[in-house]
Amino acid sequence: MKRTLFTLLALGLVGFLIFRALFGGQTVSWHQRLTVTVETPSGEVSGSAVTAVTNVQLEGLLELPDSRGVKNQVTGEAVVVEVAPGRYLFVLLDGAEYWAYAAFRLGRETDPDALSYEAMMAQLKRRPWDVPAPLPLRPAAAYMSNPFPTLVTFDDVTDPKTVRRVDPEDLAASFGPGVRLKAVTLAVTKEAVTKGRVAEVLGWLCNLTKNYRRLSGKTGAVFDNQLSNNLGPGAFLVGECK
Amino acid sequence: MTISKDLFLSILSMDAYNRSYGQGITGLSDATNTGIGTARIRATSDSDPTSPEVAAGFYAVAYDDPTYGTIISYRGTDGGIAELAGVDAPLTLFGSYQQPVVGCVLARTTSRRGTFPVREITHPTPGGALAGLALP
Repeated sequence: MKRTLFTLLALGLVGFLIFRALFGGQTVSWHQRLTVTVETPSGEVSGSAVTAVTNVQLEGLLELPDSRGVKNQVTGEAVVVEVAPGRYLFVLLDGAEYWAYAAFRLGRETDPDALSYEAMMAQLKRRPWDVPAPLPLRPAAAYMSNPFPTLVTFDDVTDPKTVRRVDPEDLAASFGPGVRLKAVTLAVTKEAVTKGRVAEVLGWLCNLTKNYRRLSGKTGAVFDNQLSNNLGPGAFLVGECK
Repeated sequence: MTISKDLFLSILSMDAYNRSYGQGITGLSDATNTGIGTARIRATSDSDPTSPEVAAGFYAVAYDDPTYGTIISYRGTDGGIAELAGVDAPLTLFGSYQQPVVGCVLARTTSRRGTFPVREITHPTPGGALAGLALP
C-alpha cells in the first residue's frame, strides 16, 4: 500500500516536472493603486483607482517561439478627478501593465544584476504594501519608452466625441489658470479593484462597450488619428460594465 | 539602400507584432502615417481591450508603399503548441480557419477606401499565405 502510494506520488511529481518543462512559465499578479493629485485655485483635489495586473509568462519546449514571452492583462478602471464642478480629468488605463516598472524603477536602474524579467518580478514582490512611489511624467527607464498614462478630459462629459488629450505639464490649458498636476503616485496594495466610479461619471460608457463602439461611435478598422476614433471604452474600464 | 521585396515583407510581417497591444517591444506608434522604410501606416484593426479583435488576439496593420501598394500585416495565432494542432494543421489541410478571412475583410475594407489595390498580405505562418490566395 505504502509502495503504491509512493509510486503514485513519484509519478505525479515526474508528470508535473515534465509539464513544467514543456509548458513552463510563471504567473505574477498584483494590485496597484494610482493616485492623482491636482492643485486648483480652490484647493487640492485628488482621485485614485486600484487596478489588477496579471503577467503570464509563456515558456517551455512546446511553446512556439513566436508565442513565448510575457502576456499581460489589466482589469480595473481609469482614475477620475473632478477638477472643477462638472469638469473631469481621466487618467486612462493604457500602459497600466508597465507603470510598476517605471514607478518602482525595476530592473537595471536600481540593480545592475536585475536585467531579466524574473529578477524584476522578484524586485516587485519585495515591494512593501501601500508605500507610494512617484510615477514619472516622462520615461524614466531606458527600456520603457512611454510608461506614463494618457490624460484626457471631455468638453461635454455627456458626449464621448468631445474627448480631448490633456498635457500633464500644462493642465491650465485644459482646465484654466491655477490648475496643475501636483503628483501621480503608484503603490502596490491588497485593496480590491475599484469599480463603478467611471461608469457613474460617463453614463454612455457601458453602451459603447456592449456595442463594440469606440468613442467616435465607429467600429472596425481605424483609418485616422482622431482621438475619439482611437480610444475605446476599454481605455476607461476593463471588467464588468453595467 | 534597396532591400528585396521578400525581406521587406518579412520585416513588415514582424512589425505587426511590435505595435499596439501585447507588443513585443514598447514605444512604436501605430498612428496613421507612421513610417517604416518606405511604407506608411494607413489603417489598423481596433485595439481597444474590450473589442472582439483583441478578445480574439487579432491585430492587423495596413501599409501603403509606393512600390508594393497596400500591404496587410497581421498577427493573432499565438496559441502555443495548440496553434499547430488547432490552427496551422486545419488551415493547411482544410483551409477553413477564420483568421485569413478576417485579414481579407480588412484588406477589402482598406482597398475600398484607398487608391491602391491590396497586393500583399504578410504573416509569419501559413495563414498569411492562404490569406494571400484569397485576395481579390
